[in-house]
Amino acid sequence: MARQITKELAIKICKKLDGQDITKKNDVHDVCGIFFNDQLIAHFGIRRGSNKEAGHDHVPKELNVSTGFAKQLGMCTKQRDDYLRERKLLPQLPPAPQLPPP
Amino acid sequence: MNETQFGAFFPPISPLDPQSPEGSSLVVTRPQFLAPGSYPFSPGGQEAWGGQWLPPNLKDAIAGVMWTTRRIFSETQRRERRWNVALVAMRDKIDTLTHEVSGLRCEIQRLQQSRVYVVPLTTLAPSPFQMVQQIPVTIEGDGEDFTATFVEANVSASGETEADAIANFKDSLLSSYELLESLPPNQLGPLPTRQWDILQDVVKRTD
Repeated sequence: MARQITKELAIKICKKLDGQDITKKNDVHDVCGIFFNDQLIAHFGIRRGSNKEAGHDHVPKELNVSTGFAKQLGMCTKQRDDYLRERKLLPQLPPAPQLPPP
Repeated sequence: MNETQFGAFFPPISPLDPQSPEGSSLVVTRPQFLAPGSYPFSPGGQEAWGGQWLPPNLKDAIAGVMWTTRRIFSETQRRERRWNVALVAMRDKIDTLTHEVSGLRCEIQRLQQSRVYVVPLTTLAPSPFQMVQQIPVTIEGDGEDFTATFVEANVSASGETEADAIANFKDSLLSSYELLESLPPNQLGPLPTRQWDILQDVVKRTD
């Protein structure tokens, strides 16, 4: 299990999902909470420290998505709506209509 | 050896003698404008080729050899082109296979180094919490990074060593507990609600 999600990517994921910092006073790690319709739908911890490459492979598990999906979230190919659809909190997009053959 | 002796084995061939088998066959196959006697620069119908007189059957033989040589040459060129195309395709396939093999080698190395095992978590000391029951924590790691997960409650943490991952997991478990405890139930989505239900069963405050 090589390092898939770094701290830098975890922070990007948090921003991409419009995550809020819900860290408590005595928490050892920063906590990013994802809200939808005023409800907490997921949260994950971001380790403190200056090492941007610190492993955060637990993030996909806590977001309840695959590692590939989480990486895509961090790398700008997936958006918050894609995540909400993945979690079945938003209706799936209808399939693209098929064009008639020329 | 005089001509008579030689002729016993090789009868004299004359292109001008239509009675000889060679001569008659030449007359039949020859085009009209080259008919014996009609060619202005050939003495008595003989043909000059390259400034020298050559018997017509020899000229045909040379033309045949040249035609065959040209054909062999063009065939060789065509085969060479096919070989070049095949070699380029083969090189591309070898490149692809080399890439795939190196990827598989990395994957095998990763799998050889990866370890997955379950450890029971029995205490949360020194925090003001205690475990109601021990929980199974799955540790996954490859020597560089480790992840500790309580699959049932979907609580997870990473670390550079197993001990680090477990310590971070305990912190994550407790921060999850405190966070979910602080929020009213109507502000919890389906996943946090399930987490809260499970965490209440396995962790309790001691203070």
